[in-house]
Amino acid sequence: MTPDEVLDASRYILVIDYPDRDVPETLVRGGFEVIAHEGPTDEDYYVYGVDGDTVTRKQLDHAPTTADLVYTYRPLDELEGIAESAARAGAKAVWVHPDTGHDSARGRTIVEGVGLAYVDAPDIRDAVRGREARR
Amino acid sequence: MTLLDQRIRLDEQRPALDPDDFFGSVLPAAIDEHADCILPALAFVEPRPFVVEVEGDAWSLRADDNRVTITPGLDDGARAHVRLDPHQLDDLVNDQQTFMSLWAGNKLVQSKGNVGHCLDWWLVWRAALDGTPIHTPGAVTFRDLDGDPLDLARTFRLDDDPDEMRNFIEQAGFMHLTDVWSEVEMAEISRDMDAAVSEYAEGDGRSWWARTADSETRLVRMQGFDSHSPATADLLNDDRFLSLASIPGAGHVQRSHRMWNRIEALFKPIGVTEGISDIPWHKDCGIGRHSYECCGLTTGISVTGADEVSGQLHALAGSHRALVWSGILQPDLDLPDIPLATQTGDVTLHLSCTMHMAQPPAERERRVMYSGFSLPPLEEASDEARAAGRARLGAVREGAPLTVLDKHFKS
Repeated sequence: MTPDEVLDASRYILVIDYPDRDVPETLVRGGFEVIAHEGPTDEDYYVYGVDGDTVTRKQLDHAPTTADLVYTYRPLDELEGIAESAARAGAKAVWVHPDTGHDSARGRTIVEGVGLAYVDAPDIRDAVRGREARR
Repeated sequence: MTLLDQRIRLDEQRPALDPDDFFGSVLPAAIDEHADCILPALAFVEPRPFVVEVEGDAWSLRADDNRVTITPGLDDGARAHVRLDPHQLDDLVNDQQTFMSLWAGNKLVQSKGNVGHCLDWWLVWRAALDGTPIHTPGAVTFRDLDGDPLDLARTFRLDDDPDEMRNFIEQAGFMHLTDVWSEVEMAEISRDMDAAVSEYAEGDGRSWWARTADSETRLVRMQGFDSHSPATADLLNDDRFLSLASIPGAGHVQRSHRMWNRIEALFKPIGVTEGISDIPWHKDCGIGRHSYECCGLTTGISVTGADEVSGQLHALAGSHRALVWSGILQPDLDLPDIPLATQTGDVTLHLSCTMHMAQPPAERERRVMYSGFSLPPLEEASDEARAAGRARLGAVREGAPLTVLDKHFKS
């Protein structure tokens, strides 16, 4: 799947950490349903929304059970667990942030090993903006 | 025309463009003439049905997998619809502006669709009018002088083999040079930057400003910085700096225009929420005049180092050899994104046609200076026409921080 096809096939995105709040905000402004796992504890999940020009953020009292796409900004040694969780949630792909210092080939092996598509370029924000520009 | 001298147009006085003649005759003929540059890419780009309206007259453009058609009148099924004034159409056709510059300058009147639909058709127009193939996946490859795959992460030093350096920048469109200036030299310039802040004021026309998340107003770009830093003025005449112009082997010279702004010094604050500090993916020629000026050569001098948490530059390798969207990352491009992590005193070079972007710093601020070199002016060109074209684009560039570009990329 190309990055654009991954986005086309996705509605619910689970964000597992991010380098900048701009990531979940760009996704939710791009029309996706976004839940972010952003700590500080393992139980902290936030649902993002848009109210006019403002991005809203509300804490959830439970973890999401399904996702079409999992985006992650976590180290490589956590990727196996993330990929397995993504597969259990019904995701079709894992999108790894480009600047996580991953060995791309190793990351691809892990994610494709559980039957999901692997993307680590471009930055998901650029992909969403490009897609938005053609919407 | 060569790989590094893409100039196919001359600045000159020209008769006003007749929209009816353009859409009825000129563009269809150009599409036929350069069908080999267009048709192979239509399945990849998929330009949506598009209406261009000029002073009440409309033309509808459609593309399927193997042909492009232009018909007079409104196509009710069009995905996108723009209204251009005759000057805008003239500028677009003659590459004085682009849909990207109209959009960035908040001058694009679009009643249906998005800027991406315009950019898709801009590819078709440029391919037809300039004879440049629209990029398709796999079309750009990278080879070293031995014909082996090019190591795009390679860094160079000023005394490396000139042929290897020239080949690298021709192939990749960018270069990273290490250890060009010392930490001591950069520390002096960094002090000059601090001292020069009080010489600039918001709205002075020679500086850019931004707001940060903690509601601070920060100076982010000081133009004509050599006027405030003797060390920087010396650097511009230093053999190390001047030798950068010879790396591409294309005859680059110091810019004869914008002499008041030979070099810009940039602060890269963390958490910018308003104003342009870190410019997203773009080609420097993406707002126009590619076929009059390219390829210029931009030098980035790392006053402080840069990495993934402190605002490093990224370049899209080979994009100077690819007709792609000139701003905003075109969906599903296959060109490698190369981060250029630098140390203090390193230099990055990129061509004016190379897609690049500044990654916003997340943990540490960064300081960098940008200057550059141009191809020597073509003798046959009209100085007056060239100055007028550059002035119009200069207004777009300087106005961009205040307009739609900011709203889009911060949304």
